[in-house]
Amino acid sequence: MLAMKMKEKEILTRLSECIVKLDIEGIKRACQDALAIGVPPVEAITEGMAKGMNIVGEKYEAGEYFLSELIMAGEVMKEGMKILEPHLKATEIKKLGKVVLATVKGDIHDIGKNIVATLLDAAGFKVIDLGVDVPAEKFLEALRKEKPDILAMSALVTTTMPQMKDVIKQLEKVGQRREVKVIVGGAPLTEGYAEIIGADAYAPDALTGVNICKKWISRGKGEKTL
Amino acid sequence: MGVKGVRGGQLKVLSRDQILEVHYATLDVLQHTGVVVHSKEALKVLKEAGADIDYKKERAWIPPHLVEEAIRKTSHGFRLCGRNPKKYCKFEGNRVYFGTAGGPPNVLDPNGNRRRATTKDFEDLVRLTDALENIDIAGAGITGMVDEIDLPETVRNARNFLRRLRNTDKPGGLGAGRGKAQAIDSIKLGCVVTGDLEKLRGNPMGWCHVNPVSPLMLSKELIESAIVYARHGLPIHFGSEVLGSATGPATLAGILVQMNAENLSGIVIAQFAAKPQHRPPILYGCISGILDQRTVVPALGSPEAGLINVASAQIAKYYGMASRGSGGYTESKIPDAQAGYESMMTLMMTAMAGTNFIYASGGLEPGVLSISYEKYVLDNDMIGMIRRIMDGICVTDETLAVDIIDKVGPGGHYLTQKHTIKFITKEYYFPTTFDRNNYERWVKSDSKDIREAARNRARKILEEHQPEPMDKDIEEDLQRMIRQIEKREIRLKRSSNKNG
Repeated sequence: MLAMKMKEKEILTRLSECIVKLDIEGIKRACQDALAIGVPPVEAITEGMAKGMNIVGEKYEAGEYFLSELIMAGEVMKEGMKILEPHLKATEIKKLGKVVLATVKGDIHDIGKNIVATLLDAAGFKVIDLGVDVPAEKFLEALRKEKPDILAMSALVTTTMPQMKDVIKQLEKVGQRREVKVIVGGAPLTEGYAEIIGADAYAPDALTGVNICKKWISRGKGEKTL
Repeated sequence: MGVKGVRGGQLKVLSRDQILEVHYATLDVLQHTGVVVHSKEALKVLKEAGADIDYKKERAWIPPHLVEEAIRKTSHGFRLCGRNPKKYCKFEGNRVYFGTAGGPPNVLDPNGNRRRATTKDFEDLVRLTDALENIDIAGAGITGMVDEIDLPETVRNARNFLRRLRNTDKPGGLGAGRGKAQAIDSIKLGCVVTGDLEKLRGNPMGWCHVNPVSPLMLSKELIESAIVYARHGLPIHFGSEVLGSATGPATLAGILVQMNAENLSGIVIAQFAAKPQHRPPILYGCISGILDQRTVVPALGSPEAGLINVASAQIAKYYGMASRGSGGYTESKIPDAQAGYESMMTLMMTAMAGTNFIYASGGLEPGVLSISYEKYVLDNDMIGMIRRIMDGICVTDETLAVDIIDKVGPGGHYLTQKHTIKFITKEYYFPTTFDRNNYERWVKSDSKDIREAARNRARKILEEHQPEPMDKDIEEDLQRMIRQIEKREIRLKRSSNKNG
């Protein structure tokens, strides 16, 4: 039993290390090994890979890791998830939360949005990416269909920033504004602008955005249990 | 493997023909105006070489063939070593190495106070440069530390040599001092570290520093120190300090001619004093600038000083000698915007000229009367950026990246390509202190002022950084020798008191 525990601990450390070292081949092997010795897949995710992601996040914030490495870690985690997900029980697949995100109408910049999507995904969110140049109607449609917890909008060009305001206005019009949290980001945006257009939060960078989303969801769940 | 020297030589301000014009004008001055040399010994060397000498006026007129012979006798360059012989700088060709300022009596301390420098500042500043990744040569040769100011210079120099070695294994540190006795002391100290004179010659740890007195004079103490070094085949630095419009002509070309004449007169003495089997390597130096006639201070952070330094490096290269220039100078009193502009301008020009050794980062005020902990840290980032610029653009199939561009295609991104991670670290320089945060993050950060960020880094280094420990036997041998020097100085003082 003790030997088993030791082995399990070892594999969880390996899973975390593969994420930190951005080792795609390593994570695949580690996930398979975890399944082979009977580590519960949920534990492999939360106690293994997710811990690695946290370390990568810390390293990025400390300036030790580059953005490329942060995203790559997310992709490595995705590879691991591909192996572990089929072994999760239906009740365990429940995601952290659901996010609909897109770059607003008139703007075809998607790197920033894709980074956020990758990191949200790695953090355990269900991500619905609507793509770029997305008009308000499409946001509303996705809202009805997907019933997300969070709506995330990106803009890189100053001239497309007002589109965000438009989406929020339309949400209010159809009475759905209270159903979702709205977060906005993109280089030209500011905290002040986010406030003016009535968003719930502004993220100056991808990692901050993901952390805000995490906080919302855990707080939301906390309120529900009360 | 020595320290990586970035390659300069991209910047030139004189054409080949103009260099020759300066050279011929210099020969004219040395032959017809001549120089004053306050040393009978040095004059004798010149006389024996074939120069025209007036012992009474202590004046020498040096014919062109002697000057050109001395230039030919000078080797292409030399190594500068630290106590770790594997850490060396190769002063030759277009290799560029960066050092910090030394000598000033004051420091701008980590709390922002300007005060007299102490021996602790000396140790801390050397340890700081040991940790700063872009500084090749650990400076901080504060000479007038307030707690040792009453000691004889030779004792201070010997103690500082050991202090420096304890706190860094980076190159530099040995200086000949003024006069024969100090020069011999320094050679003995160097031999303790390297093992013997032969090894010191192969791995020199410093040089004899000669500042000619402008216009056109050499002092007894310095030129006689130089002769000691020359006869031992050890390096000598001639660093002329012409101040345009005061101790030299106002024109930049005229400053170059006089500076060249001063340096070459010393080089002639050194090479003709040397034994043929051990010639001293020469560092051709420039500390020249202009006098600001409104404030009556030397302006070495000026565009004119930048131009003079570039030209000086070109002249040294034309002669096939190692070069020393002055860059990173500022006349500002604090590390402010003026300090940033002036330091970057003079350092980048001097570096891009391919000056082998660039002196004076981290200093402040006209005449570098203080050195600053903050500026050491900030200049470290500036040097990092200059190094990056000088590394230039590497063009190969791999860096042209056609395969990667094809793989990513229109609309994709490069963030997660292996190629990206590989070349971020290879091709991009990331400053350690300069703030590149966006406005929001900057507002939230603890150090909004770049000086504060620099102070924080300096404090952190001083709290944490420990240099490579030095060999205990060598340390004890040096201490023993320093005690001998101290005893000798006490005896000398007593006997001079008795006689006096």
